[in-house]
Amino acid sequence: MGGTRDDGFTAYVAGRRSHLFRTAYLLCGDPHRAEDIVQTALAKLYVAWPRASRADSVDAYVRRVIINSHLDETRRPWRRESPVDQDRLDRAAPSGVSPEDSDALWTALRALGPKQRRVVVLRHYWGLSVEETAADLGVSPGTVKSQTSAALDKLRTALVTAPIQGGGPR
Amino acid sequence: MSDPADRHLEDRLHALAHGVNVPVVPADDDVRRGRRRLLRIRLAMAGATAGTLAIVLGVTGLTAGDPSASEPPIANEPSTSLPADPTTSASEEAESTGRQEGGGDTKVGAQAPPSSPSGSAETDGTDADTDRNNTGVAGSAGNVTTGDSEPHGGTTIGPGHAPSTESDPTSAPTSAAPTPTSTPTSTPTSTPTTDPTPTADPTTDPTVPPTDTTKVRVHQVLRYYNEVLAEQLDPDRDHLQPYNRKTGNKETTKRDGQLFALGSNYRWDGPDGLGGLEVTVASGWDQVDWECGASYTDWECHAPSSGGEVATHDGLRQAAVEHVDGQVVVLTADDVAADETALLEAAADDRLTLPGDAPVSPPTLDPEAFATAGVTALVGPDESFTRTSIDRTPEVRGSWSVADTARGTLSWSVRPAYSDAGWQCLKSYRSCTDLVIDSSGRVVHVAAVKKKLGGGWVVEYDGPAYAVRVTTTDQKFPRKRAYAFVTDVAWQPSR
Repeated sequence: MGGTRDDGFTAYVAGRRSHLFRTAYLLCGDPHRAEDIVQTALAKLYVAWPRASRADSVDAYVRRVIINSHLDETRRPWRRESPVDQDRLDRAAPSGVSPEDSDALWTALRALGPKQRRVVVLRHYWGLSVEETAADLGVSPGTVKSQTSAALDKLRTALVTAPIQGGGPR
Repeated sequence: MSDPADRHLEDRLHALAHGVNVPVVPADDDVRRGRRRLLRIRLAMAGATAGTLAIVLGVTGLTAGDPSASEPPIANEPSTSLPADPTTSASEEAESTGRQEGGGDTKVGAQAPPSSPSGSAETDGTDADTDRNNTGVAGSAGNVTTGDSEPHGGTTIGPGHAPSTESDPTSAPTSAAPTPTSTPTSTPTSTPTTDPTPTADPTTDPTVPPTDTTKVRVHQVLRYYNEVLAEQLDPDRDHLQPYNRKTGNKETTKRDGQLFALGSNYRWDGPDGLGGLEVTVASGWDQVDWECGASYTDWECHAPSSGGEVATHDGLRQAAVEHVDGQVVVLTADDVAADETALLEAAADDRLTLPGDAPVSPPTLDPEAFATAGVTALVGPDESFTRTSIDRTPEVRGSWSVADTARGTLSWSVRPAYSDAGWQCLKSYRSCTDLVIDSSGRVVHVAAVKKKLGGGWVVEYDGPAYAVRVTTTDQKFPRKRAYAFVTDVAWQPSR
């Protein structure tokens, strides 16, 4: 438990925690579980910090832990019904997106299957390539492509049927 | 991602994520948690190492005083010539090891001469399932049992018995020379007197589900489902392709060794090319992705008078039927024009059932009745509740207001107890308490949610049929209302 580990880990957490929380939140849709997932992921990261930082793959390591933690959650039968956003009603509307837009997008995301949601988050929120996403998820690039395509089709359909105001293309 | 529509979607996804209220958690908290985890891992490793060392030292200490452990073999014993006879030594090894693990059977069979009957038994035993399935022989349950038992017969009948009469250790060592020269090819001529009959008869009748309480053979069950569906939907097998364990997929949901859902996507050769017919057999509605009845879905759903439900969405047509035992069968055709009556009839087939001792789900609760009862019990006279979502789990969610002032989110839901791990005190809770609320000793779990994670509290009662939960983001919501609601016996029906 040397100082090097703590210093590096603390710096990483300070810089990336919010991003990781948002990732977990997009995956599971519940702030409580997102926080649980992030705490678990960071605790595992602390243990593996020397290895992960040496390999210069801290983000990839945490991403995988978050994805796997979420996968574990969805595999548990009692967690298959993912709840809707608990503070959707009382939170401030994000800048640049109207509440209707946020609601429609979140509803569309929620309608995706867990695997498709993971692919969408990794590819379109993290901005990973097909190969990187495939490596993170442990599937073939072809699977990533097909799941991305299917997910985007669903999202487009859902968002077209629920027209939005504001937040258009920039 | 060069498509403008995709870029637009990406922008909106980022905007959505950035609108999330991120809890402020000091990095020191994460460091502390990480240290604790590291400490736990190191302690576990140290404990395991110490335990292993103790076992090794203990065994060493026990065998150190045993003279037979270091006793050299006697030179005049015929055992020195025995290794020249491969069959004898192999069979003796099999006698000692083959009883303990199945791998020993195959190993012994491999040492037998190619012409011996045990050779064929070996191939059957190692690949019985795959080979026989492809021949289309019905009764797959019997196939596997036969495959398992045949190598036993081969090993005990072939190289195991005959050589032991030839090279008896009691024969004089002086005549040891001829023994190795006698090739084992003559051994199999001794006809097997014991009949290697399989212990279980093959199930050739496709109307009998391949149930086995000891071990569920998933591929066999999926093949059986395929046969049932072919009988219902495509008797001539013009479209539905037989299940192949090498190419067919299987989807299972298991927990604690119990099978909660089983399904596969069979290939359906239609006029427009290759499609799919997916079957899912689940222990209850909570184990299938079925969005009919939920407020957030865009599925088109209807319930024919004949029973069951039909959904059309995303180019698919699905039929779901709940059987009398609570199991739910969902059939999905990737064609919205699929005959829904035929799908419903097929889904209602009693033979589509989970194998073995499948978990039993409680009777379904009426979501609307649950929602209405929740409003009655939880919302006071000067308060209001605006429902924002409901699904068939059931789960009701909405905003709670007092004197037209919004006070936060209020939700109530149930989770079936048979598939649930029960109450868990999550890390996102500030505190967890168990309260005895009446003289009968009923206990409700109460948790206060951390303020940075939205605040409020959770009340849950783990009933025999369902775990009933009420959640609110307003700390001041009267909890006693929730106690009465969650413990209402109306939410604990029995089948």
